[in-house]
Amino acid sequence: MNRIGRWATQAGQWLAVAALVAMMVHLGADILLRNIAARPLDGTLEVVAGLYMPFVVFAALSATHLNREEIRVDLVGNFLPQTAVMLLDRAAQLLMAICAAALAWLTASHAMRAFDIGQRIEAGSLVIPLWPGKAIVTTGFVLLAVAALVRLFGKADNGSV
Amino acid sequence: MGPFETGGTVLVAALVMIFLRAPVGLALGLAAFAGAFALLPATAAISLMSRVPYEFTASWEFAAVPLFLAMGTIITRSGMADGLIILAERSLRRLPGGLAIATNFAGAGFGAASGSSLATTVALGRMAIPQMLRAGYNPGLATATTACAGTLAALIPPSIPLIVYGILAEVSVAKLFFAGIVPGLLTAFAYGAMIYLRCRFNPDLAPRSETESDETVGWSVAAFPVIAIVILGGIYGGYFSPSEAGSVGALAAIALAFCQPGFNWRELALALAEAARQTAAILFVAAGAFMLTRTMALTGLPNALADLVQTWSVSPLLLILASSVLFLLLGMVLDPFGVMLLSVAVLLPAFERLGFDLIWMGIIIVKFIEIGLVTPPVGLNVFAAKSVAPPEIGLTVIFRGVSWFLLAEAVVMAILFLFPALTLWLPNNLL
Repeated sequence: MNRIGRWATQAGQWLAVAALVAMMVHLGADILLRNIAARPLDGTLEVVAGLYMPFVVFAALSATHLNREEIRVDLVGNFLPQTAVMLLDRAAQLLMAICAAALAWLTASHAMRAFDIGQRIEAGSLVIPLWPGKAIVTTGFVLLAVAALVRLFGKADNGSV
Repeated sequence: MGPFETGGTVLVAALVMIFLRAPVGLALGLAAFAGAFALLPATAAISLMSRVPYEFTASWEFAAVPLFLAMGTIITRSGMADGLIILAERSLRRLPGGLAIATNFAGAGFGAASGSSLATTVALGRMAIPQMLRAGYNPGLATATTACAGTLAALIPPSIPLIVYGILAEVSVAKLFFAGIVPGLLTAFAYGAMIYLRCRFNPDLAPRSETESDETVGWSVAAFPVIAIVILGGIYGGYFSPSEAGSVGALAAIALAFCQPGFNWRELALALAEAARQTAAILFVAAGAFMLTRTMALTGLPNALADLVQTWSVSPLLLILASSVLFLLLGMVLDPFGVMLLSVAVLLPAFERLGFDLIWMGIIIVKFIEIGLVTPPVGLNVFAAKSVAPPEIGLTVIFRGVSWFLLAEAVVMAILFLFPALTLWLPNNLL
């Protein structure tokens, strides 16, 4: 699971990078066309909010976790014995894995519903399906649960992807 | 249970989990969910919380966060900050403590092209700390200057904390950007004046150097003012919104970075991956805080607190002073985003009820965040400065050096409290 988890996490990270680049270029093109030719790209706001942003955040979430870059307060670590700190960390990983799995389960129903009923936004000539943005939320939580399990059962290393 | 008991229990549960090393986003979200579960029917609580992750992140306004973070990581990896430090050093090295003053103003300049305090501290520290130590500077002064100069990025636009505050408090991010300029520069000048006075009265802290640096200043140093002017000018001129400004800044940073020696596609990919991971870290906490805000609204605690403030006829000055003490205490033990997001969730209605300007309030809260970045025991910028300092310089030395900067901060905070117009003049007149 360790190797598969790390590979999936890395794939998620590069998917987030692809979404970030797409958002950057899309917005740049829209600004240029709007200000020079007075012809903005249809649906820029909707695509940025509904597609790029969930991909940037949720595809990279597990890489953040596996790289130990999540925001955390290390206050008691200086005062407790090493074993107690390790136990607290493992408990936090277990809690994270359970919560991420639960959120994956709960958000999956939103994604499936969006797919089943063909939920979409129409912006000018553009029709934007909502299910990919919702599906990446579920995928992101699945990967986060995997990353938490890798950290739970892995060595107390730096775990970089 | 009344609003104070329920809301209080949720807050205490979140804080306990945070202290027990749970990720902050998880602690806030889990406490919020438990609170919602206690107050609503189970299906309603589950439905409410399961919708938050998508609805919260699928946001046009939040697009500014990854884009400005990408701008910062690209500039940091390209080494463009080095030229800025050399230029500042050449201009200011003849002053007492000139290298430290130069590092401080380079921090302000770098803040104009990076929204992240930690990135600014690391970028400055890699070059400035060894340079100051070679010149015989006091290690506490050298490292504390770098840690504190990094905090200027939190106020000088574009600023990630100001973007997040603007969205959660539902106030204009553009106004917040313009409101941050004067307090940011005021802080930089207060730091500079403090370093000058200390080194003038105690020359041993920073021996004067007569030798000129032979390193050349590349044209890339012009990138910082250019990027800042393009971003603020574009927002002011109505050419693009703050969210779109992030894309302009990031694309400009890519173009300038490729003109730097050693910057290649691999470096770009790594910089973008770093920005994506940082975005996920920040928005995970922000989503947890958003859930907490919803649960707090269900408990009625923020409104009950606002009612109490009104019933007791608490004076605005007393409220702001009491909040300041709270922010300082929380800032010592919580991460800066946690402090800001908790305060928005709980205290904002009380500030609104007493007629505080939420733009001014945002700047004050971010100033406290900035202070929290360098106060013990959780001073993230101090840890960042330590990571690029020689290993023999301990955290105690850096924290001791920081105490002088906190004196300068006290003066700046007093000025900002007494003269809100200093903060509000620019946004009120330009936008």
